[in-house]
Amino acid sequence: MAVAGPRLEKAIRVVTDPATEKTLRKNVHLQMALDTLEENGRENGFSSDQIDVLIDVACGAKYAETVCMRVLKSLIPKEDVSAFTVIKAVSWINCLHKGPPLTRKVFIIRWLLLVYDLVDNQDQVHLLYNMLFPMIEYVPLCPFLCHLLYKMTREDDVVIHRVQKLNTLIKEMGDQSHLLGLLSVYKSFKPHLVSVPIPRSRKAFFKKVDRDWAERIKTIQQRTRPDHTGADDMTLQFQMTDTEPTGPRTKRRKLVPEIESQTVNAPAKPLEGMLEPKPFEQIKTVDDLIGNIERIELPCQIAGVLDNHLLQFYVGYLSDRSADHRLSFWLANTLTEEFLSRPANENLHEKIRLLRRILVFEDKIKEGIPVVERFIHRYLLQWNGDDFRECILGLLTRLRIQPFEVLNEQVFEPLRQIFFRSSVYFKCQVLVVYKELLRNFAAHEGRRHTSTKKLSEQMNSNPYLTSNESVFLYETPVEDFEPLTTILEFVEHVSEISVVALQLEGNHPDLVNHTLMFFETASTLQDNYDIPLMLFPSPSICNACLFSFDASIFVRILDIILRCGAAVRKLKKARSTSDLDDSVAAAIMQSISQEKIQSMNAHITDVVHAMWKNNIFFSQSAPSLFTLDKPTLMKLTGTSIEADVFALPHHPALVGYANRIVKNMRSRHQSGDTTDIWVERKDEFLNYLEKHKLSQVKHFFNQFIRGRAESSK
Amino acid sequence: MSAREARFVTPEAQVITNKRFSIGGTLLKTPWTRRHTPYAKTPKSRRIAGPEKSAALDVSLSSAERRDDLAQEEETLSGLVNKTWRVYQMTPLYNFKYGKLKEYSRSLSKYLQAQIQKGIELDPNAEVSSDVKITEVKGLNMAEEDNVALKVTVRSKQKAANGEKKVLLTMLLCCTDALRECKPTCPDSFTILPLMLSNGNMTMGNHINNWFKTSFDCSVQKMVFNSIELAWMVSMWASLVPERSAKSVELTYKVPDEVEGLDRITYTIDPHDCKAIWESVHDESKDMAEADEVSEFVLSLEKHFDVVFKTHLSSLFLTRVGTSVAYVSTEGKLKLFTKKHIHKVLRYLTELALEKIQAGTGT
Repeated sequence: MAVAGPRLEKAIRVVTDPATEKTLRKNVHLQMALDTLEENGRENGFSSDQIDVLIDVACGAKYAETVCMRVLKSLIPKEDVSAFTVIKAVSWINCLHKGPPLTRKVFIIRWLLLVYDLVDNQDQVHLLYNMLFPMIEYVPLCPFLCHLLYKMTREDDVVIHRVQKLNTLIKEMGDQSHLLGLLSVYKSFKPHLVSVPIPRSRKAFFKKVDRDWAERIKTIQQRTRPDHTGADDMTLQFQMTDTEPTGPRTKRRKLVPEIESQTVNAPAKPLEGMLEPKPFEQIKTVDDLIGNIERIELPCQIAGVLDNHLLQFYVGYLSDRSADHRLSFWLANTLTEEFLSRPANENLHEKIRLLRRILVFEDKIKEGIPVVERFIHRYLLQWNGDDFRECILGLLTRLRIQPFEVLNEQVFEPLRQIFFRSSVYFKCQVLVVYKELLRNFAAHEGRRHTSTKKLSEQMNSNPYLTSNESVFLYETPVEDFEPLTTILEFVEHVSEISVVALQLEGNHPDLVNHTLMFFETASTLQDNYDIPLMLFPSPSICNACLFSFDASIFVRILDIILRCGAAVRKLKKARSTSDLDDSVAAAIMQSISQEKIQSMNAHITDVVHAMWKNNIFFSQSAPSLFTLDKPTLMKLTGTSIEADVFALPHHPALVGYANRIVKNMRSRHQSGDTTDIWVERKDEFLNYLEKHKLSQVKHFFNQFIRGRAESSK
Repeated sequence: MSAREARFVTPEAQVITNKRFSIGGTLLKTPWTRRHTPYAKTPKSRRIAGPEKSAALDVSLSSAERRDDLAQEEETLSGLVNKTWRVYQMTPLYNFKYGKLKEYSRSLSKYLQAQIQKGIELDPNAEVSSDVKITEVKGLNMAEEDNVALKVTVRSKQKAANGEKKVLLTMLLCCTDALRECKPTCPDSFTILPLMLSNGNMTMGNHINNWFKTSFDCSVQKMVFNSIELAWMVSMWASLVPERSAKSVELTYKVPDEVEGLDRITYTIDPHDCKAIWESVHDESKDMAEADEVSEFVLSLEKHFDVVFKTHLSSLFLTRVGTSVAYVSTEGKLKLFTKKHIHKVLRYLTELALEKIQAGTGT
C-alpha cells in the first residue's frame, strides 16, 4: 500500500519539529512517523527536497541513535539527490561537537557512497574532496571513504602529499585493498607519482557491503525513472572478452603485460603551448582516443597493445619506428622463450592466449609481423603438427609475400613434411591455410609489395621523402621480385602436393573438397582481385574430379575449367593491348604458356568427346590427355567397351539424374532406353540438370561446342 | 666427488698432442652436425680476442684522469673475479639516458621498497630498507661504439660488524666489443647493453629485472648455453693458460636419464696438454677461431676419451666447461678467474647474447 502524501508530510513534520519529544518510548507520534518514513522508503522513495530535510534528522544529534539510523536507512531517493544535501551530510560528519558518533558517521559515508551516482551536481560535491580526504585516518571510515574518494577523484586531486599519506597508511596498516584501490586511481592519473605496483589481477578493490540497501535504491529508481540509465553503465568499455578457460590464477604466468604508464621516464613539464601527454590508461573509449590522438603517451611496455583494441588502432596509425622496434624485440624474445625454449604444455592457456592476441592484431593491421614470421620459420622446424595447431595455422595465413624459393625453404618445405605425415584432416586444414594465404597474397600482399617497391624507388631519387608513407608497419628491406611469379609458383606447389595427397588418401571426399576449394579461390583471383594469372589445377586433379561419383564435384571442376578459359581469353587480350611491366608480362606469359593451354584444351576436348560426342575413341588430331585404344582396352579389361561409356547420362555422377528423367519421359512417351532419349533430347537433359542446380554442365557445353550457344537459344 | 659422478683424469702420457692424430672430416661430421640446432646460424669463425683496447678512447684524457680510470678499471675487474654470476641477455633499452642515473636509482629504490611493503621478502635477514645505486662502470668497454657499462648495487642499510654495509646484490650490464659484428638494427632511442651479469639475492634480482622491463620496455631472459657454445669456449680459451697456478681444463657431460647410477661424467685434462692440442689444430697467424678447428679440437679430446674409456662423449651433452679463464655451465652460470682475460670472456658472451637476440628478430 502506498503511503498517501499528507501522511508522509505529517510524518516529516513530526520528525523535523523541534518540539517533538526526543525519546522514542511512549512517543506514539514519533513511532508512527518513523514507521511511515520507513514504509515510504520501501515503497516510493523520497524526493530530493524531502531528503534534504530529513538528512538533518539522520545526521543530527537530537534523537537517539536508533531513531537516526532508522531515518537514515529509509532515505531512498526516488530521483536525483541535491548536491546541497551531500554538503550538509559532510558538514555533519565534520562536526566536532554534537556531531554524530563514529558508528553513524560510517553509515552516513555508506549512504553517500550509495547515492553518489545520483547527485545532481557532482562538481559542487567535488569541492568537498579536501574535507573528506583527511578523514581516511579514521580506521572505521577508511574503507568506505576510500571508495567514495575513488569515485570522486579527478586529475587535479592527485597531489604528492595525498600519495604520501596513502603510502604511510599502507605502511602502517598493510596493503589493504581499499587503499590500493584509491592509489590505483591516483596512479592512472599521475603514474609517475605512485611507485607502488598495483596488482591488476585484483578486479574489485572495494567490498560490496550494502548489497540490500543498494538493491532497494535501484528498484525504486527503476520504478520512478525506468528510462534513466545509471551512471555505472554509461561508459562503453572497450574490453576484450576472454572466452578461454581460466585456470587457477597462481599457476598462470601472464605473458602479455598490462598497460601502465611510464614511471621512470615521467614526462617533464610540457613546454608552453604543448599539450600535456595523456597516459594510455585513461583512454577508455574510441572517443577518448580520437579526442586525444595528438598527445597520447604510449604505455611503458608496448606489448600491452596485444590486449587492447584501442591501442591497436593507435599503433596502426602511428608512424613511430621505435614503437615497432619495441614490439618486435618483445615479441621475438617472448616467442623464443615460451615456444622454443620451454616445454609446450607449460602455461598452456596463456600461450594460446598470446598467439590468439597476435592473430587478432595481425588481422587488425592486415599484415604479418616480420618477427612473428621469423618465429614461425623456426617453430615449423620442430613442430609436431599438433601443439597450438589452430593458432600456428592461423599465423601462417598472414605470411608476407616473398620470392617463392624463400617461402618454400622457410615454410612450405617444413610444412610439407608434416603434411604428408599427418592425417587427412590435417591435410585439409593445411589446404584451407593455403587457400587463405593465396587470398592474402592476392588481396593485400601483392599490392603492398608493389607500392612499397615504388616508394623505395622514389626515396632513392628523393631522399627527403620520409619513410612515414611506407605502407609497411614494419620496415623490411624490399626485395626485387615479381609477386605474380610467387603466386604462380605457389599454386603449382599446392597443385603438386595435393595430387600426391589425393593418391595417398584414395581421393578422400574431404580432401577432394578442400583441394577444389583452393582451386576455386585460385580461379577467381582474376575477377576478385584483378590478378592477371591463369591458375589451372594439375591434370590428375582434373581427371579425378571429372570422373567423380559426386555430381557437385563434377560441376565444380567444370566451373573451374570455365573460369580458366575465360581468364586465358582475357589475358591474351590484355597482353596484346596494354604495355605491361616486363616482369608482369613474363609472369602472365608463364601462366598461359603453350604447355598449360594445351593441357587445358586437352581436358576440354576429352570431356567434349567422351561426354558429349559419345566417343571415347576419338581421332588424335586435337591435343588430348588420354588416348584410348579399343583393342588394348579390351585386352586389359576383358570386356568390350562401348564408345559411349562416358556419355553424359552414363556419367557416374549424373546417372541418377538421367535415370529420373528417363522415368519421367517413359511415363509420358513409353519410349525405349536412355541412349535413345539422349540422342534426341540432350537439351532437355541439360535443362533438367540446370533445374537441379547443375547449370555449369550446360554452360560448359554451350561455351566449348561451337554454335551451341546460339542454337540452344 | 659424489657416488653418481664419474671422474676421469687422463694420464699425461696418453694425451695425444700429435697433429697426425687429429681425425678427418668424415668421422667428425655425424655428431657435430647433429648437435647443431636447426635454425641457429652459428658463425663459421669468431674472433678470440678483440682488438687491443682502442687508443682513441684514452686520447682526450689527461694523465691524472687516466690514472683514475685505470684505478677504477682495476677495481671493476677485481670485483668481477672469483664470484659466481648468473648470465642474462637483455634486449635494447628504450629511452634510457645516461644523464638520469640518479633518478633511476631513486625510482628503483622506491620500487624495491614497494615490493617489500607488499610483503615479498627480498632479504632473508628481513632488512627493510636498502640502498640502491646505479652507476656507470669504466673499464669494460673495448671499442668506441660500446655503450658504457652499468652497475646496479644494492646494499643493506644496516651495517655489518666490520662497519661496512653488506652488498646484497650486484648487477652488471655491459656491451663489450661485439657490436661491429652483429649490431641489431634499431633507432637511436635504444641503448644496447645485451649482457647482464647478476650476483646476489635472486628474488631481488628478479624484481630489478622487472623494473628494467617496465622502465625501458626491454626483455630480460636467462641465458643458456648449448654444447656447441660451450665447446667454442673451451677451444677459444684453451691457449690462455697462466704461468702460475693453471687450473686444469674440465669438461662435464650429462649422461642420459636412461643410464642408471650415473648422472654425469667429468673429464679433466691438463691445461698445457690442452693448449698443445689447440695449437696443433689452430692457425696461430690468425686471431680467429674457425668452426672446423673447434670441432676438430673438441672431437680429438672426445676421441681420446673414447680410446681410453670406450665411451662416446660426442653423443652426450656438454653441460659445463672449466678453464683457467672461467667456468661456464649450460644453465648460464659463470665464474671468472683471471682479471687479464675478462674482456675476452665478456666479448664472447656479448656476441652470443646479440646473436640470440638477432635469431628472434631476424635482422
